[in-house]
Amino acid sequence: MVMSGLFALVAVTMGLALANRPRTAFWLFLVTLVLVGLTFRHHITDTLAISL
Amino acid sequence: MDATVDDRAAEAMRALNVLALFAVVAVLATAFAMQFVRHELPCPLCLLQRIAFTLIAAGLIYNLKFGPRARGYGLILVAAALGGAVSVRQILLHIAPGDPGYGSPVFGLHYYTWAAIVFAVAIVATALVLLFDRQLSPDETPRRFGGMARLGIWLAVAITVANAGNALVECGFAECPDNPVSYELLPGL
Repeated sequence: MVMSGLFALVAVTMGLALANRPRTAFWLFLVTLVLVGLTFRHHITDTLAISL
Repeated sequence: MDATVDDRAAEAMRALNVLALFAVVAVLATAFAMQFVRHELPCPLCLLQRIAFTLIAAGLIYNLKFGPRARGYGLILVAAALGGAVSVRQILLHIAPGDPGYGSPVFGLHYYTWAAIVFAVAIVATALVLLFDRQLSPDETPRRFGGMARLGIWLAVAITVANAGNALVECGFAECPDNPVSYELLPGL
């Protein structure tokens, strides 16, 4: 569900850009990036924990 | 030398953006082909890499729609950096001797290794493109597309929507398993 939602957000971002909404597309892009980062966060902490 | 937008440079860079968009679509189509031909379901990290590729496509669409802009290239750079981090993490997970890796290799390398290479190429290529700053548009005026740009854009949108549906069928309404072997919503597939 999370992964599907992230793909859907990217599709909406593309749609907003194509519908001449550059600012909204830009901010939704950044929000999606942050959400992808949050989904990936435990891999970052695991890698850091191993390297310390 | 004036500081106005160089139309020929902008046109050349728009062509490069279209080319890059087709390259991203090809990478995502290859991932789908591997999934359906070899019956190898994408793992959560594989899906995150696919999301990063679609984000790069979104950055390219932004550039095509509003002209080459530093903002569009910046979006592509952060998406490629995130995708690179995910693919390198997956390489590190399978780096131990004797580990067969996840999925079958393609031309000798696993999909996530190819992904790391493509993300690195995207970062370097974007940095090189940014060296030619006379292409950059000062505002976000919408542009009209040529036929190839239109085709690339709709292919990118279609493959992103297809990935959303695929992820829903594969993972269902719960968290994706680390090593998926069947589709949660279509177990007989």
